[in-house]
Amino acid sequence: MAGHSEDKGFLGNHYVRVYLVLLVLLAVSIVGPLVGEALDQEIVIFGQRFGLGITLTLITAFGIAVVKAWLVIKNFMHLTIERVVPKLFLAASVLLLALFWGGVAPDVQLHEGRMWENDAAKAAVDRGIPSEEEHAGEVEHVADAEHAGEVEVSYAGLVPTAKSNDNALPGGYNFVHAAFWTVVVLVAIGTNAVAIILSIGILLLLLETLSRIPMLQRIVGPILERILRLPGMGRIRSFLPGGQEA
Amino acid sequence: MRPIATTRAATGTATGKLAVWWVLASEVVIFGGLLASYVMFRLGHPEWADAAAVTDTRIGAFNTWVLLTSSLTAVLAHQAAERGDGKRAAQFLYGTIVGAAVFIGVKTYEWWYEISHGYTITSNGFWAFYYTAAGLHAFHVIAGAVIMAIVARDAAKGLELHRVELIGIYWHFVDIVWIFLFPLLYIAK
Repeated sequence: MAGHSEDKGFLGNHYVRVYLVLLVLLAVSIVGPLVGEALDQEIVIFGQRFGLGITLTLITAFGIAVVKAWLVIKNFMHLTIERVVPKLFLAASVLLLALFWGGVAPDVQLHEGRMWENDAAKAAVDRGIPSEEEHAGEVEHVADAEHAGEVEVSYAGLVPTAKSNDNALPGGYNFVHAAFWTVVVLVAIGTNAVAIILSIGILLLLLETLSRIPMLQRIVGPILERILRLPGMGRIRSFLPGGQEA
Repeated sequence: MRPIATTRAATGTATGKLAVWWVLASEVVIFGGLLASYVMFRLGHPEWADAAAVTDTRIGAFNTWVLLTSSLTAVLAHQAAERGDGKRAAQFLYGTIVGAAVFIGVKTYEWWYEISHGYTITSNGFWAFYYTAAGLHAFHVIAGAVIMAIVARDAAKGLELHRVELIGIYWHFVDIVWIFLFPLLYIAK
């Protein structure tokens, strides 16, 4: 797969050219945020106002990181011309990661919700960014905030009472909270789908491996053959050595 | 007898390479989970900007250049191995190992400087993430360099040249992790 280029000199090598592009992108990702720091204008995108500096920083630092990573994946790792199974492995991982992020982000990024408040996180922010009053000498509040670092998350009103039974879920979600249930369903479907797909793949690999052992060939071979004749297995069949014959 | 990783390809991909991709799929969750957690906390804690301002962008940029260069030598080693030139492949792999050594050397200096100025893993949330993420990454760099030395030793004798590609794939992944760590820990002040 590495035979992209013949010997055409150092700069004629495909990989060297990709490397030079990566270096240019690295330079842009360093200079972009420096320029961004100096800009204080605002721009309007789809009716929303954004700081020009922070927009430039996000694009040049993180947008270019994605481009750099893609160049490495495509040109150095050759993933785009790889067979489908490694791509499925990675897709499953990225899906799990996305589900993790989607499920956890609301509780971590926010410090309060409808029925909960993260006192410790708020106190930590207060300690790090003192307000004007604190600058003026409100030492007492600072001392409180320091103690607040030891306080656990307070789920005010979380425990169901005779008057309320709609707040029994962690994080202050209630039973009709659409976003919560969307995440739950996605996690349930996603993780189970991935687990089922991987399990089928591992089972087939195991059976295929066992069928190569002479002693087990007569027992496992027909089982594998029967599974591979099930509807929709044609694609999987083509992955096995010898393609259709397995 | 040749190892099963080189002689079998139940999925159309050589078993050895498939195993490397499997490892990387698990690494995506490990590093991805760590970085996703960092981003979530960073968005919720604007005060971390003060701590992030301490990290030296020049050092991070230099190490990014080192890793990108080492990725180039790793893929050039793969290219040489595909031509059957084991000696050339080994030379490029040794070049990659030098890159790993430079990276770790710079990281050691950087950490020594930061720790000696009181920024330790227990200082606050930012530094906890910083040392955990960069430390885990540095561990992968060291492990990769050790494996690469073993692969290079064999490649120089013209043995097991397919492994040059396998260690290369791993190394490029380590490079990609740093490509994301660099803006997260050094640029986003």
